[in-house]
Amino acid sequence: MISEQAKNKGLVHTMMFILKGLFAIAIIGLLYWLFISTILQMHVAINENTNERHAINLANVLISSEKLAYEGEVTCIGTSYPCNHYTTSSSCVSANCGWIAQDQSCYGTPYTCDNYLYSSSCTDAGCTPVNGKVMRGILDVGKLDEIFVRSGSLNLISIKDIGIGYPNSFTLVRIIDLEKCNSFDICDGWIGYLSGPITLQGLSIAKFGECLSEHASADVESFFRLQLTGPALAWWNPLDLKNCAQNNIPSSFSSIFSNSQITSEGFPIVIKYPNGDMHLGRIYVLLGEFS
Amino acid sequence: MKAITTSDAIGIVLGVFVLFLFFSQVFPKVYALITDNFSKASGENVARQLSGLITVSGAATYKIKIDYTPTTEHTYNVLVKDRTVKVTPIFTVNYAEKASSTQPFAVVLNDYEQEKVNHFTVEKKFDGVSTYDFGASKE
Repeated sequence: MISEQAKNKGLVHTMMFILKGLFAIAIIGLLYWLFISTILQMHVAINENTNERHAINLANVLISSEKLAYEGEVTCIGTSYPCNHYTTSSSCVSANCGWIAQDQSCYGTPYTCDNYLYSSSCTDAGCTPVNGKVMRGILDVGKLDEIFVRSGSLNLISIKDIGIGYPNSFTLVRIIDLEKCNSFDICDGWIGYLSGPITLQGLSIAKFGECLSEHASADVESFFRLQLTGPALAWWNPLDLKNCAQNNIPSSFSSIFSNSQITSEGFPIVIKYPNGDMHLGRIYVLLGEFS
Repeated sequence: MKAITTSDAIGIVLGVFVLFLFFSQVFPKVYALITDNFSKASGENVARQLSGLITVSGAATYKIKIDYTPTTEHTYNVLVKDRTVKVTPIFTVNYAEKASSTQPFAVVLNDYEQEKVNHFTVEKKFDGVSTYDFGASKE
């Protein structure tokens, strides 16, 4: 009887110590998990901040670049070639000289340099072109039409590398004219995809872009999405966006997309039309980075 | 009495094992991460600053020259390629040799490589077309 009690007591003690050991391990495990999850959260926060900073920097570079921004008129200085410099009738006449077909000669008084408005014609006339100043924040409609597509033709969007873009990234640029909006607050504008060099093997940004173009739609739903997501993402159903990323970006690549208040509110710009009209607008830059 | 000694031993062994794992595997990485993230002279920080400065120089409409010297005590190897800048600090601590960092920037810059430098210059000029230049030297 006594040995039975001693045996039971021993078992209880053993069980207690095992439980204590397990409890200690659980506590250490919990602390470890909390520590690692905090580090992970810090990492995600740092990555999101980095991505957001990249998007802001990119928007700043875009609105300051001669690729999009309006350049002041080119001025042409120096002394133009004399008429006898020209050997063809067309070049002779275009320089305001007279062409004698019999002698194949050019005579008269040529235009002075300040008559030339374009850099190429200025150089052709022997003058020196002085480039206009880049007007930061004033976007030239002619340049926008070359790089982006108007909002109405969403399925024609292709990815372009204009020399401004992070490597292994996808940039969605949306420019809206705030003075050309309909009653649903949907404004005219431009949309385009930009990309930097792709160095990751197996990463096809082009397919992702094609998928986005196929699923973009300016329907009634987009009006409601506009209120929720802002103009940059209003063209897509969130499910389509998710599917495009899942189906076209291999899971081996981690990706992070900027979507904070700063990028969703956009940067203020002015849009300059060829007839001289200046409209207020906004540029939204949404950046997806892959690694 | 014998049973208690055994369980004590198991608990102690398990505790020591967990602590050993923590201090041998996790702690050095976390320590390196924290010191790397919060050190001004770390490769990560210098690479981030450089990539940011290169990109932001594009926001200047005419011309700009930026000088950046993170520290005069340490030097770095720097490599600019494919719109990324890789910075490797040359520290006397062995593990720091591995603490290089590669950060992306968003403008077109010619490939560049230089060793043991700590003074960096980023230059942008606009003369009809924007051109960027990067340089590094020992200060």
